[in-house]
Amino acid sequence: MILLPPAASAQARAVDSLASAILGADAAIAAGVAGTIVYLCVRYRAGSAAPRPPVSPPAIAALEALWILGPTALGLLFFAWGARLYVRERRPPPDALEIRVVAQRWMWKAQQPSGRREINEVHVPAGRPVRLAMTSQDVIHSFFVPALRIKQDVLPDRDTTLWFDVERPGTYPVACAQYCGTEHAGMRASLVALEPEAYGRWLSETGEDGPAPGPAERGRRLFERRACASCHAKAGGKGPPLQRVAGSAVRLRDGRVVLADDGYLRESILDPGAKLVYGYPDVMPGFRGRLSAAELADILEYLRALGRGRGEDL
Amino acid sequence: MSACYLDAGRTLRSWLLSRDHKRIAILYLAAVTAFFFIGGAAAVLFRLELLTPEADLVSAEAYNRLFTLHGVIMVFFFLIPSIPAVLGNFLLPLMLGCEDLAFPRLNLLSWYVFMAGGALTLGAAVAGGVDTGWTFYTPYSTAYANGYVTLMAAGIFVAGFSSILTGLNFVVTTHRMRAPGLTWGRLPLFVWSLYATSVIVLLGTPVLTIALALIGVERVLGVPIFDPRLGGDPVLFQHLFWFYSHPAVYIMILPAMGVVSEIVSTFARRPVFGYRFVAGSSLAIAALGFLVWGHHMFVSGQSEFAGLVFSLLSFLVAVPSGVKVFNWTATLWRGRIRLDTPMLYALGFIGLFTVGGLTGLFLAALGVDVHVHDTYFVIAHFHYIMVGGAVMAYLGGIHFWWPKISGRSYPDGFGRWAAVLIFAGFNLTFFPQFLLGYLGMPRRYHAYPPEYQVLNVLSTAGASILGVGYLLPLLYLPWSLRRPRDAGENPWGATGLEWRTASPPPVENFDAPPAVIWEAYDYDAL
Repeated sequence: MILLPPAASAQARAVDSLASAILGADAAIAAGVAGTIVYLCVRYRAGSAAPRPPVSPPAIAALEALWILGPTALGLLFFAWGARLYVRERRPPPDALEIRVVAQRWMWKAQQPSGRREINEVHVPAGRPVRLAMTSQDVIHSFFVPALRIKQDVLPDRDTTLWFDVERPGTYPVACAQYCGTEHAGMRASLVALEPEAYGRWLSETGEDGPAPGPAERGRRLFERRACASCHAKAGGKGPPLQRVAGSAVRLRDGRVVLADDGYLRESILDPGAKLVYGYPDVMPGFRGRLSAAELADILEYLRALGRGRGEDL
Repeated sequence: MSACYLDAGRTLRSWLLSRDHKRIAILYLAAVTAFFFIGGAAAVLFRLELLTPEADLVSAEAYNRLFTLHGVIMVFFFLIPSIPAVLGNFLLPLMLGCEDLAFPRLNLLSWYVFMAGGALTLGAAVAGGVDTGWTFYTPYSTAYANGYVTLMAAGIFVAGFSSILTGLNFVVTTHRMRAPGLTWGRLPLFVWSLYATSVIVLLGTPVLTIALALIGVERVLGVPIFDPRLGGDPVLFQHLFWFYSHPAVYIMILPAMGVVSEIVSTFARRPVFGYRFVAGSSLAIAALGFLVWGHHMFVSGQSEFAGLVFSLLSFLVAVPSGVKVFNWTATLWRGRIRLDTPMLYALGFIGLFTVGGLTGLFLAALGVDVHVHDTYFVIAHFHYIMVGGAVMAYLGGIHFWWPKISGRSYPDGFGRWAAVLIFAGFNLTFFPQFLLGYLGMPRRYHAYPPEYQVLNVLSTAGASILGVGYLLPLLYLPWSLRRPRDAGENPWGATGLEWRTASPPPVENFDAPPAVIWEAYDYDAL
């Protein structure tokens, strides 16, 4: 069982240092209080022969001064130390590489300066300051990288920033830390730090003949290119919203409830009229013969990346 | 000698329409006990869900409704009313040497208002629940949540008025109804803490009431206040919410501190060390507690300057709490200490509250808070304060004053075992959560990466021990009602005025109006 997450930046180690210092002070104080209580409870138990002379007023005053001023001084020390880290965390260097991040229930979308887009992955070069310019499409989320000891809320209609300098290449988990609804726990991503050359190569993979981005990302592009989003983007459109549709229980116009497994999703793309969702008109064109199998698979992968529902209530 | 308050009527009506503060306290006791076990049942369910990394016992939707119910019930319907409305209601007039609170009818009204709020809240839970968390953050709560948000917010809104009425009653009673000779400098520290609490309630609760009303206005009428798509500001809600809900932490813990002062002094048979400092620290907490709400928002996008100011003030508000801990410890010095059940709870409180307070330093320190904010570290921290602190003190107070309330003594052996079990179960439940939080497990997760499982299993194991510990007093305290009323006026040898009348007290509290000619905690005058 590990007790500390990996520390992947100088800032992370600096946070650990302050946390260790506070832990040390806390342990000393807690042990002091607990030890004193146990000692006094034994020595001054009812019936013990220990002498109990009255306490003199100057002794009381001295003790009160000690335990008012001591904790105040300790608090000021930790305040200043924590403030230093915070101020550094909030002032990105001017040469930081800017990556746009858009949070949406329940996924992270990122766009590199070159225009390359990703879902639930953020590639960054190691050893170079990176600044995330973040916004949300719906509720408040929070971009949290435990290995970097940083997080920042991501707000709708407002930009917030987070910067960091990852020292070592590696893949570090990203979590949404601000509760954002049903699949909050599933709103996770990977921060992939690459050596600068590897990052450069990765960026150039967006070129025409390099290996394409992942299937979910290909599916997302297809979803946009084929204008699926114009009806399925959000509630109130002509078609049902597709967040978490995969694996969910879907109520049909004829009253049946079916599980939205891969077979159902595929059929609903190729032959939408076969099983009409309750409350929606039969207006979607069938895509049979208009999508390759690979394209269909990519779209299904994208739908799964939109989150999985639960079919238990079937 | 007039009849004891328990014998003043046996009908349900004689209870439900009573204006006797002691009977109303019993009504509150029944209500908050029920709410405690409802909130606890929700916690049992989600702790079981967290035994495994996958979502298998309950769905994500159900999990989110469970933790919301747990938070709302425990904060608004257990922690906030528990000590003031049960023990405070029963004891304040007895400690002040008067016949009742200043406004007995208002006191009964506040119980009915509380029950109405509770009914609305439980109604919302039964109708389908709410998944916003007890914090109701916008725009999730106003524009995205599909549960019975407005109904639940209405329940809390209504219950807020009950708090306000009780707070008002306590402030007026403390000012106007003290027995002859009972100067401010002679008040029991429990009265000081109730007074400081009541001031916070009066100043803070209206702000929460307004914030919840605005949620209703936006959800029902579509008036844009918090929803940015309509031009609102979602962070505004956080300011309003925490302006009340941070001081609310002190509404929950200050009365607990007062209870501990009474118990520690009684069982050490020593006046509370540094009486003036302990009393003054309650007022300092009440004042400073209003100026630290922004530490809930260090990563919300508030300005860097605001972050610095709120961090500094948060370190300062820790000082008066520390002063109390050190003074309680020093009260033991040269005392004559007995470790009966209430004292075990009080010492447990000091230990757990100290850990809760000290881990607050991690959260007040900006750089560290950014890492552990919204993780299980925060959950562990505030449960050490709220459960390790407030609930331990509440149970300690119930055991301490049970002979006064019921006239009976309870089996002390059971009491001690329950106290030890609760202390052990509590630590096993919540200590692993500090580690989970630092490792980076966010709060409000129905499913989690497998590396967090060991610590979660430990926590759930602890919760089962804690649950058994809480059930024990529910069994042996009612059982003790079968015993004869032979507790006597003052079984613990305590100094407060409440111990200078019969147990249970007569309807008018005292046969003759008492006059006070001794200092607080003067054991030599007994």
